[in-house]
Amino acid sequence: MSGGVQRLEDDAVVRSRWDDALERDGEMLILAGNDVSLLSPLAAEAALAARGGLTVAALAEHLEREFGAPSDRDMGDAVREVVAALMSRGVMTVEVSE
Amino acid sequence: MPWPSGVAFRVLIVDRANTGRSVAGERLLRHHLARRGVARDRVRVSSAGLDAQDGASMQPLAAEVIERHGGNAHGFAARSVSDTMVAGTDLFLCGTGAERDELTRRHPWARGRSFTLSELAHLYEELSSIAPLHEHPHLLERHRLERDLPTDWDLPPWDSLAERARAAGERIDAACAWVADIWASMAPPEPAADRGAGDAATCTVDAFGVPVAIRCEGSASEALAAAGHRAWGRCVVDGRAAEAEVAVMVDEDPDGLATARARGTLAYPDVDTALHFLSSAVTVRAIEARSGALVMLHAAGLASSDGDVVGFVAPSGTGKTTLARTLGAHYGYVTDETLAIDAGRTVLPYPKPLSVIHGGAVKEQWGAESLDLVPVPPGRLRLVRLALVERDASVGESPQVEEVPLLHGLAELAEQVSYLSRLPRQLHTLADLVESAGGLVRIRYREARDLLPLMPELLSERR
Repeated sequence: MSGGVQRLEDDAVVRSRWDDALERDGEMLILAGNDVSLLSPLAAEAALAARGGLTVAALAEHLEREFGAPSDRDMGDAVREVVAALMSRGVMTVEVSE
Repeated sequence: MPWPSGVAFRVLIVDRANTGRSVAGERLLRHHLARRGVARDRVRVSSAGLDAQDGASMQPLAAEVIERHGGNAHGFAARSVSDTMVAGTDLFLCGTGAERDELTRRHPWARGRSFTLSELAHLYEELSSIAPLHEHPHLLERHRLERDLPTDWDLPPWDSLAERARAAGERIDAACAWVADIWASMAPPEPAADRGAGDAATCTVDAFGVPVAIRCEGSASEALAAAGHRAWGRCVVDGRAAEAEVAVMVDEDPDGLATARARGTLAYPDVDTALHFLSSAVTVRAIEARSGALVMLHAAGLASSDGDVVGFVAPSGTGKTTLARTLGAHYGYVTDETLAIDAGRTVLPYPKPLSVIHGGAVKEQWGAESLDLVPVPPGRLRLVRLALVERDASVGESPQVEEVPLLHGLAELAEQVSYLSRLPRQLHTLADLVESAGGLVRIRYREARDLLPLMPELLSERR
């Protein structure tokens, strides 16, 4: 596992996990360990997509398909920001490929 | 209750090189916790460096500081902060804000759990956190973000300067002693604590259905027992087998206090301080005993004469006691701190003493009888309404009331639940409770007395 988001590469594999969750209107309330987080529809989709593990690049493609590309920034940066937020809440971990 | 990890609360002290300040913090915090009878399997303290050379020795100045304050400087090798270390830590302590920021930049998991030693000391001085230790980082972070805390106790590197190291050592030692006092009162009890046969509890109190034995010791034990009985009068029960125990001592003899602390007794030189920490200890022992069985909220509770209860949910230090004291002159005083509810929406009362500040950091404990609060009616108490409350001086005489969407409300409520992760069906259990009580409302109010006119409406069941 790697905690350093600044080292995150496109081929890094992200994986999400949680203990309980409630979904309503695209948002998701999620319990991971002792932390409860309310996820936006974008973050919720990222968490759901990464349950089985996928690369950062694949996650970016998935989110772009679902929500479209952001108009004001690079999709990769946006995804890294979501991953960092989910990691800080214990929802997501990153596995760097050897 | 056994801890899944085997360790109740894990603390990592972080600086740059892990050869000076962090080592002193590690050894002195361990020293003060051990002196208070807190074993390493209850609170584990270790240290690491952001840019440490693994295996490096501690600086001679660090050894001097540690030994000067009674700690053990032997058997140390520096470690660099690793992801595994970070993932296994509940609370991070740093020497400076810059080090804290760098730690959280490199390791997102540390966000919301990282404090400078200076911040920790100031936060605990301002905030009365009565909660199991693993909830403290979140409670403290919330207050850290709301306040402009002084940095007068920050610990910059001492750069081989002996005078600076000694001054830093004094600060580290004082802060560690202060934090150890607080943590000792709220650390989970030893699973197999044996206080010796023949010890009779001075009294037993009922904390939301958990009988907690309180044993008073020391030369001032009689004065302590009398003051304790006044403060805890509504909770005192007789003839029930205790599920938890707290030993508390008041004595003038420093050596006697030190000996008592080492065996896990809460020991203080005066009655007021003892009662202050006793309240925290009883509450946390009861919370530990009912984790996984009850929904336990940081909330004040007030009951109608029919036994219907409104829960006012708010973080520690934001006015629950004032609210309970004000409304409790008219409605049954259920609790000012921990509202415990079972799966059938039955509320278990906990009319503990109310903490009232009279200058200084220690609050006085006033019993519900002394404050002339209305007792709860006999029979079943039933939760009929839950409100998230916020004191706001800008609100007029009429409080502002609004419905809160379920997930958003649950996200806020969850922060005020003890041991949510141990409940069966966790978030679903909480959602069921909230929906059965008609959803959540948010109430912004100026003064606690402004809430009185709202009570009839809040007590009228929604469904």
